[in-house]
Amino acid sequence: MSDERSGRPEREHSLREFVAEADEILEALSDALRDLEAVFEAGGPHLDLINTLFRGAHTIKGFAAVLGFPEIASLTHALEDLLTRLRLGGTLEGKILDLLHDTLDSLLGAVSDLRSGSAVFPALGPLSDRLAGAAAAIIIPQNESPGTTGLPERVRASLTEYEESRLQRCLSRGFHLALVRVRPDPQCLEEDLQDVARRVGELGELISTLPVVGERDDRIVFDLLVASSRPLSDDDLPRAIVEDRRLIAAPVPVAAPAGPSQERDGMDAAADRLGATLSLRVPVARLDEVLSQVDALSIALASLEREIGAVREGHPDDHSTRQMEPLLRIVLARLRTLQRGAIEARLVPLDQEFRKVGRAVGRAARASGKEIDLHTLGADTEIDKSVMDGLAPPLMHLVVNAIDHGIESPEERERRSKPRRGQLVLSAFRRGPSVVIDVIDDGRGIAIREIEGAAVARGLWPANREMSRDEAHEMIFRPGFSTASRVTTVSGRGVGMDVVRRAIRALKGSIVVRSAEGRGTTFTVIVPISLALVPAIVVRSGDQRFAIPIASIRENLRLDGTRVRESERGLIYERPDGPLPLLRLERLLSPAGGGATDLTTLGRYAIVAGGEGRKVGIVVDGLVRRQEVVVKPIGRFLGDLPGIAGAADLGDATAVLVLDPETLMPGEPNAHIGA
Amino acid sequence: MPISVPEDDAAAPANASRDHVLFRIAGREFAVPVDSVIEIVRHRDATRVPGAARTVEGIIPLRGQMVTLLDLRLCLALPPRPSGAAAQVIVLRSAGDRLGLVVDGVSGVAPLSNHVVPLDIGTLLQGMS
Repeated sequence: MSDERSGRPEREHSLREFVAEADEILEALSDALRDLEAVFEAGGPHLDLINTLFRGAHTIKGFAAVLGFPEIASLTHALEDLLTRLRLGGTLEGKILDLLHDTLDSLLGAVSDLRSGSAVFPALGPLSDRLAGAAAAIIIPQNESPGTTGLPERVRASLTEYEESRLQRCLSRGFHLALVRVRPDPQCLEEDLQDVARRVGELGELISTLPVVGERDDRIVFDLLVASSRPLSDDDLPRAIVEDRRLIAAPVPVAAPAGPSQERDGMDAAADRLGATLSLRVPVARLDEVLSQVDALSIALASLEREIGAVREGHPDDHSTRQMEPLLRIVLARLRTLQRGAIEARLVPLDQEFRKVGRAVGRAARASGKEIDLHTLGADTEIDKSVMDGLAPPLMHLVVNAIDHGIESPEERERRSKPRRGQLVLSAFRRGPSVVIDVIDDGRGIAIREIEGAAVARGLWPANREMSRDEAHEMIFRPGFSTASRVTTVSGRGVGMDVVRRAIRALKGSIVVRSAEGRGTTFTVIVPISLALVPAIVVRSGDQRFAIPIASIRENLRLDGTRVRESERGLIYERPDGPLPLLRLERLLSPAGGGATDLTTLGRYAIVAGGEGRKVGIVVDGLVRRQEVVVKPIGRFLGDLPGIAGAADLGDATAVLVLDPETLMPGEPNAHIGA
Repeated sequence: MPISVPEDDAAAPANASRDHVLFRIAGREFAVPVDSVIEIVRHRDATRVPGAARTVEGIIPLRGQMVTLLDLRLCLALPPRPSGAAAQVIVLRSAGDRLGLVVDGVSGVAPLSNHVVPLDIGTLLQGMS
């Protein structure tokens, strides 16, 4: 993190990062602490919740230490110690719960201070001392299984759930357990550790590698927790780096298991107790790597398909070449499945996001003095992780908006004979390749006259013209209409609906609104489930091919030349339900090309694309095929290209431009489009 | 529009003692630092991109990424390549993107010598406006 230029920008970035991460974790910890109270009063088991609190404290400690907040790191370290003693069987008492509440409040306060820019917050030292005192007062019962009493507390507490379950499993299988301290050469750290891991693997299992924070900084020291089928000897591990070896547990004679099923039940029960999970954390980048390998495979297979086709054409009667095609089709089908699998691996349920929204609703309602009931539907609907990440801010804004401006105060609602509590519904469902998310409130709806008045005041609407309902609904999305300078207490910054719409469009999605004055408003957001593979139609225009995402296509038209006319903005196609602007793709490539339009060379089809009242007919000479394409960025050397979403490799080593019909404007291919 | 190029491998100032990839255009020899070169491929037709500078031939896909092909003859005000003549593409990495230099042929890898003209990619990119 050191940087010669570092100073304020670096520091501010660290601050923002820390605050963002800490916020989320502290929210989760608040929930866990509330649950812990409830469970404690009911007298039920609470180890899971303590574990959750521990993990949260541990994570915050890590961020605080790395990002430069030592006071917070110390406080969370003291919290960790207290929670560790509880994890190891210490008794939870009411005054410990109070202390946990105080600690959480202090952390929330400190993070809030940081967020609002003050670098100083009330000293956390005294609180750390209280935590240390409470921790020391906790007695840990010594009734652990004989196999693990020798394990230092700190080591035991640092094990992940998975490692603990592996530990128990090795012990129950009669392995020896040893703690080996190694001090590898920093010049070949990786190799030394890998060497050790390999050797241990031959004898048993390396359960955990724990860095030790030591006194000397010149070498990095690790404690390895090793389970082995026989006691370790001096020759087992490279002498040069082993500093110390301590036997923790020799196998305890175990009664012969009654049968394989009983042993399995015992192990499953142990796994359940430790909360071993059936899922892994996988970095998204790793999944993307798999997906990109699958894409490369798909391209190679497309080439193979072409070659096989060519061979077959040359030898139509040859038997063996005839066999190739069905075999290839099987391979392609399997590849398709693999591709879907890789894409689906990135899907996460919307549940996470809905729960975050749920917490924000409570705060927003209190802040604005309103009473709100939130209902969520379809939280298990799945969506690509990066789509969800992109959706989170606009979705949060829509919800906060509904609370701030949509739903009336309880008194006003009663005056209007509405139930006191406002109703807010968040629903999601899958429709084909998209996910449809509705944000519904039963508030005051969009008041057309108010919108009209505000628009006239901002110079966005002529004073003497009456605004229709559709025009009012479109107006709220206009940049300059939203009062971006207004700051709501909850979101902390003013964000206009135009930003919301742009964020959703960036995800290749769309947003529409329906509203009834006095009764309520519904915002409907439609986003693709995955941005990776986009179903598209490949079209031909002149000697070039383009791809148009199916999600943008409204219909395909066979052009009737008699209905085409020229206007100053380009070609118009007359249709019963209104004129449709036409766009000739070759104009896209050479905007200066040609004066008068030669209508006889006009293409035969028009793909009608776009939405929200901005339809355009893209004229093409032919439709090649339907294909799922992976849209890749064109590269920064070419700047910002309106109308182009990116480029795709169709499998024959040439790039095909993928269009973005939402931002195409016929007649002005290089104009930048406003909302 | 000027494109601001971050300090990166392709635009690093030439250091004569480092190894360079030497290539020919119109009988003259040029060089780029070898550190920024990813690979050298045969030239093939690029897809034209609307609104691009006239020195940009277009884009080609390569190993899952789009490569922007730069016609160096146009950049250096050299006469156009005779039709049918062979050409190669030197693919450079530049801050996560891929830039392809269209050249007549690649001679080899060596430190700079007197008759070789080192190319400053940063300047080339700035000229793409």
